[in-house]
Amino acid sequence: MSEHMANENKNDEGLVSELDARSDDGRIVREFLSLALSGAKPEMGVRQFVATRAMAVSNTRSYPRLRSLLRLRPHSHSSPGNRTRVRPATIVLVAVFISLILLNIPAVTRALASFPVVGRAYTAFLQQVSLDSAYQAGLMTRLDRTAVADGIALTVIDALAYEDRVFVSFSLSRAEDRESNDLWERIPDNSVLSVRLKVRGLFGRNLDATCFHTFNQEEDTVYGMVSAEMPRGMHRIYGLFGTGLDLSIGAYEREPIHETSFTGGPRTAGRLLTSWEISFPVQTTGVQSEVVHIGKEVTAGDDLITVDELVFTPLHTILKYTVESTLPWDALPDYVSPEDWQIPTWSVLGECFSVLTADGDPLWDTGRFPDVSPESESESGSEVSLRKGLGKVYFQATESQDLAVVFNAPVLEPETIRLPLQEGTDAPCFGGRAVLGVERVANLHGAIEVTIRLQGDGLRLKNATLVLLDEEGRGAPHDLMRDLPRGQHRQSTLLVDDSFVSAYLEIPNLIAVEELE
Amino acid sequence: MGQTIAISDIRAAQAGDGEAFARLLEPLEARLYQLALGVTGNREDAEDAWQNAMLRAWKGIGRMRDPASFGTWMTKIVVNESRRLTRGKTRNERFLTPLPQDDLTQDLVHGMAHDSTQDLANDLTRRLTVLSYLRRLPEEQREAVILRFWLDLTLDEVAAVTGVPTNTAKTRLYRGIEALKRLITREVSESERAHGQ
Repeated sequence: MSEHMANENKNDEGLVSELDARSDDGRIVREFLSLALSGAKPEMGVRQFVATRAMAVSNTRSYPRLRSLLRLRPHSHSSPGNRTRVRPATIVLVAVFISLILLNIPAVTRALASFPVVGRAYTAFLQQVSLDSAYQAGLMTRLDRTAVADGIALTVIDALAYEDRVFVSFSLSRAEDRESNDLWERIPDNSVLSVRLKVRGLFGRNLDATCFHTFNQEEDTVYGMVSAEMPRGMHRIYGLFGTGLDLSIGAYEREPIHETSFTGGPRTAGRLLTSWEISFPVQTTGVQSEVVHIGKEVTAGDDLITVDELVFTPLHTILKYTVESTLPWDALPDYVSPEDWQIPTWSVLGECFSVLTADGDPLWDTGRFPDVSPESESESGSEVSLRKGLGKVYFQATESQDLAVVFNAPVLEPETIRLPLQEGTDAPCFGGRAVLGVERVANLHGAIEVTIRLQGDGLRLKNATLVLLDEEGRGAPHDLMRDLPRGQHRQSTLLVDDSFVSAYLEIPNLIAVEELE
Repeated sequence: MGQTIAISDIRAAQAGDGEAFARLLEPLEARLYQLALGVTGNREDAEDAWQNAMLRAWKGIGRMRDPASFGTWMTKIVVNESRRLTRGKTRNERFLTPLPQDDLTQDLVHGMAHDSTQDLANDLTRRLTVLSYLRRLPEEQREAVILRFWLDLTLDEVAAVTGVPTNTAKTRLYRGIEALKRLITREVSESERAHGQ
């Protein structure tokens, strides 16, 4: 036994004997933690920080922010008395900013009033994603850019940037010179598509993209639609100058499950069959819209939700709402970073809205954007207030304004639920109002597909976060590949390393909504 | 955090007084850094989280509404910055990257006083071992355990800092303690088997 190992063993023994020797868990844990943490000090203390950085930080606050300046640009024609003086130094900054944008954006061509000849399958697909009216109105930019990998062609057909959303339609088909292609035979049924959409240029960043795709057997083609929210406040800039997008699609092998396929966000791992990358320009399109103010309030738990307005456009019916916490100021968190700001119930509010016609038919929800954005961000863009949020839900376009807006209140399970990862196991939830069960577990190639089901009166399953744990309760190094909400079921496919043995399923966030009467 | 806050220092810091900001934060400095160390599991990330937290606090103190909650507010910033750093890494990096051995050297410089080199080596080995156990806990359990037992926050405060209901914080804490026990017991059993004991 080496000396190092002997020391380590001795230390381990010491730790365990300390735990076993005392009955007070708290005291034991304190002593345990002290072994790791006591005496540790930062290299940079607060006094050094103040001396080296704080003054510089303070000084920068006396200059107007670039973002504020950009917001002022549309109002530059206002009366001289209302004009904002801009310091010469910042004018240079703005000039540099604009030139960088121009350098990064290729020329944008818009195919207004032109109707390219496309197949029936594509037209039907556009109807399915509620963008047929935008297509007919000539609002989508025809791109027809193709990249070929392993004999399979990815073609970006059209793009539409509108309000703060971008929609990109694409197809996957055999490349013309490869009639026989074993890989293609596996793509439509035996693969999962993972998409990544990225803004190029000065404000380059990954967008939180979702993808809907479907296979048309007659044309032997997969049609897909990627949609994403554009960076906050940038759609006006993109309306002026356009921007460039990079679309990456990866096809990962899986067993067939015969479901409509949704995928979302940048994903990693899994058995990659092939991938494509393609770049193209987009430019925000302005459309005529009619706004109907509503101003109706509804309370859900600690939140006051106001349905502010419905916006009728030729492309969508957009429901805008505000959510405001009714908790007193001192009960609210003062600080939260943008990554963590989401309140679980707020994140599903969009899905809690339905819009019904006079006949009681629901408008088809194109709302794959149910999130709420914070009302305001701090100066640094790193902190947000949890007092108030603004949300939007996109429904299909309608000519009728005789509509009813229905809201089903979300209900959040306060406890984290843990179940053995076996079919047929279940646990009570929502204070005994419902039971959550594991209905199906399927081991795929490098992935585990789990279907959970909520059973209970008056509650409909809305959202659930699934985490795989091993026998020791350790979390798996896995990524969520896709999530299928289907009524009271939710089917999640989690990419997981082959060496990880999943034993438990943990559900830290479980959200249901009250069923409609 | 059990610290008496001088309201005048809060007001002064909000007006841009760096010295007042230092007076407020200095008594919390070591514990908050240790919180970052426990959550991130290594010195480099802990140092980054701590420095980011100071910067965010300095920028954000002007918008802090309740001076009495300065400690909780600052703790939340440190937790968020630590989370941001650990989440910024890929899952594989987070789970599989071993603790940097440089920690040993760093601690020789920045660590505590020891009677002998052997004491120091034993202490550092033990520190790394404990940190590696902490790192194996799910992030939310790790945070709950450190906040409750190292920063002595109440359950309500743990819940407020981590942004979850008190019951959830309680569950995380319980599971964290249980998981720690299991981890340590298993490690020792394996170690004993490996050495034929």
